[in-house]
Amino acid sequence: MEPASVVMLATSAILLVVSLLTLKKSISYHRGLKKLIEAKLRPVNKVRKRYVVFATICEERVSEKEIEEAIRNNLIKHFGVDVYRKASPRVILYDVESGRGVVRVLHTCTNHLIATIGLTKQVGKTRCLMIPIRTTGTLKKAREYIRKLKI
Amino acid sequence: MVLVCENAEGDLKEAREPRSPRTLQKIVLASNDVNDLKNTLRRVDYRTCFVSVEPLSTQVARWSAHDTRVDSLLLTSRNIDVFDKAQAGVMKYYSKPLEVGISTLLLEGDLGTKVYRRIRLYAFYKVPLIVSSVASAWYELVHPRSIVSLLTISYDLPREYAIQAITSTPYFIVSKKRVEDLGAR
Repeated sequence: MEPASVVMLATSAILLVVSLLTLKKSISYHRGLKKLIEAKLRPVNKVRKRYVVFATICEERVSEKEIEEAIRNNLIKHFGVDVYRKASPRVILYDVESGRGVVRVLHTCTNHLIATIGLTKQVGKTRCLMIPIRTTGTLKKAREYIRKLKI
Repeated sequence: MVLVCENAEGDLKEAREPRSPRTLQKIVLASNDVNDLKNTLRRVDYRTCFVSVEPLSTQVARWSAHDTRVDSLLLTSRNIDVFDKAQAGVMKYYSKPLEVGISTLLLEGDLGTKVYRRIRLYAFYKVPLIVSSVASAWYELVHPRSIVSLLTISYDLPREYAIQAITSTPYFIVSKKRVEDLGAR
């Protein structure tokens, strides 16, 4: 083996060790930085829903679509578009005969919806009184409350 | 009149014995002169009627806050400026409730912000609050749960204070009136 090649081999070995050490150091820096950033970010919670059972007393029969529109308009009127966008209320069930139904809403906006339901005086062109009855976490329970309710 | 009642298991059922509501006459006196108000109060049967005063001047507001014939002081869009910090102190001292209608709570713009500030101030002073529906037709009635939600969300009032505004505070006044079988089953 020539002395020149020995020197080159030794140099390359040293460079390899140095690069490995540098890599290890940079990995540890990367991990530390990642931890620092992640600690400041709050975890995004899962979107939970609530089902609000309501009853209506109207002069004439009203449709599901009209009720949803009335709720949307009143929610925007009283609490603004931002709350409406977050709450995204949807009429899941509505029985035209009995005038009872269920509205699905974001769990943080339940009180906004209940206030809106109570303040609704008109659905379409019909004078209407809406009564919030119960808030549940599942649609199954909401259905039970509709069935049990006798007015 | 009870539409829905809830039993111990949380089931909703029809009220077996519908209660007949006892009605109480309410008189609202709007005045900006103390002498006029005094003369009017002499003619009012305050033992059977709910007497509410809408003060249009500071003098009337101060005077009616300590008059035992007056049951509540009404806050409307016309007299917001009358209800200042000193008035809150007087009303707190004499435990005179502040009455607010739903229509006043839903005011928008500058008046809305004024109403918000006044109600927060009076809540801070722990002045009893009464929220009335001011309904003249059946469809203008508001469910109590909605009123509580409105007060807690829009006015940032504690839930207990909001519940008292529609239950114990008005009941305390009404129970003193000469109405037979009030609240009896």
